[in-house]
Amino acid sequence: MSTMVVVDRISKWFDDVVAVSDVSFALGPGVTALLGPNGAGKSTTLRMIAGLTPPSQGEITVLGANPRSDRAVRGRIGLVSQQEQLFAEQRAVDFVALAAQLNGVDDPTAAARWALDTVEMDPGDTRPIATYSKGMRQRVKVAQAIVHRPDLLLLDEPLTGLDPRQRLQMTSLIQRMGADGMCVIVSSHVLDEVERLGSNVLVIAQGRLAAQGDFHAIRALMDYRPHRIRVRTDNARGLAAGLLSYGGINGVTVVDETELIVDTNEVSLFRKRIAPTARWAQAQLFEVHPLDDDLESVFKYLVGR
Amino acid sequence: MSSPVSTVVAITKRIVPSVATRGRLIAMSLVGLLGIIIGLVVRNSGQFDEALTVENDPAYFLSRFGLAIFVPLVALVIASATLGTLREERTLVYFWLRPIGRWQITAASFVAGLLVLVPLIGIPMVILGGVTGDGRDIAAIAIASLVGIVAYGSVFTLLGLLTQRALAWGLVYILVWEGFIAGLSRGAGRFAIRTYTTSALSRVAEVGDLIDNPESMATVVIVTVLLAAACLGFATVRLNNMDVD
Repeated sequence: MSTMVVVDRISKWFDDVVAVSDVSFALGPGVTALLGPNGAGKSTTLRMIAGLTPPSQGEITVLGANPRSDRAVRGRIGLVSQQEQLFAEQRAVDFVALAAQLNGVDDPTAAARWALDTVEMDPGDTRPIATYSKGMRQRVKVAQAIVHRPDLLLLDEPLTGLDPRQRLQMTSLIQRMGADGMCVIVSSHVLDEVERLGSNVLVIAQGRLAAQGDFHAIRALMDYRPHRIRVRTDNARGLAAGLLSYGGINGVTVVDETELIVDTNEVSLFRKRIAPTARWAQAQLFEVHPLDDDLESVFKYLVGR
Repeated sequence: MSSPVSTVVAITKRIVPSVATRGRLIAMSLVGLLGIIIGLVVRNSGQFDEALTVENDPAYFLSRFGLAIFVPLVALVIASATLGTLREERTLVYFWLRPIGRWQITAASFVAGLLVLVPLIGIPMVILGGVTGDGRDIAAIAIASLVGIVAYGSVFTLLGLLTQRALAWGLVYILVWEGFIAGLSRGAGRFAIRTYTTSALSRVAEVGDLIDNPESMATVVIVTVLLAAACLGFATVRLNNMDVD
């Protein structure tokens, strides 16, 4: 696999705030998901890879060159940034054709039509972009990023604002571009999105690279961590006894007759056992609620490992 | 692959509509209209018929209203919006991340500003020259306005890139520096664009008392060209080094 992006111990700080801290990775063709909660440093990392802002420390090489100073490399990068502004009074085809022209594409209009077609937008639409919905604007942004068929495509939260059908279509487009040999980096804070996008995942949390690897390995890492679950029932003591008789439960705290807190490292096993155990204990289940299953706490765990 | 010039043209065509918004055009046209109305009122009062002192010369009115207020104000509003709007609306990235020279973005912004400023300033100023004076004043005010458009245009294009408060800083420059400090000494006056626009008006209209020691036309041209080159060069360097959202 040829390496297309090399990120070597980069850090980025804005005054006293450290946005990215000592992050390194190398990527080749295919789709890589940059997963992390909001404010984790994903967008800053993408902006540095695109050359829009220099790292405060460390080095980034894209296709063998510095993306900030090498003009030719800029022509091989496509970026869908998170900001929503487009040239609102323009038609989509004109906006995308301008991107093609500035990227040196021979027939900008034909390229723009192809790009809009690819994202399922009508190239003949005469309405200005200002009249478009958020999802349509998002697709226009993707079209201007792929119109010159870049080698590296950076997408910052590209599924935001899309309806389920558009998400499916966009996901499939991203997968297709990755399969065609393009290096595609997609940022997201939604685990399910990442699962559908591709197998390679970089988890960024608190500006640090918390985990890297195959999606299923990352998913397992997230599952096999300490979980705390609140269970509401009409027989807390009976249910606690039943749960403790199995393995895989670290501890059970009976809060009162109707509520208990379960600590476990094997959440999938707990999911399988809670219903049969409740039946055995003749306990009715009113609620099973994970107390630390939000992404923030998952990332905190990964960072703290 | 498009040529550098066609790239500049393409970017210019994109910037002009975002600068020449309906609101800006109406507001600036109204200021020009106000100047013309005032010029008409002053002419009908007969003040210009008794041109015994410089204050009664139509060129003096053109200098005081046109070159000191109207030209810099319109240039500030329009030129600072070229790169400024791209930066504030975060659309600069659509030009910045292309394999083109930064100078092409700067040049296109400057040209876009000129394309809007020439009619927006030129038409009211020429009408004002016709209303208040004779053919001599029309040629003079056209040349002086052009000097102002190029000089202020380049300075305020740069200012729009450097700060989000370009309008405030531009007004400080126009009102405080040019309106007050530049008048205190000849040395300070040399750092005011108004000195050169008024010098151009004074030289072409042959009205000697508009300004103490007016600069020669050669100096006016050289300073204007150098100023524009310096501002656009600095804007290009700044574009190259800045963080882009």
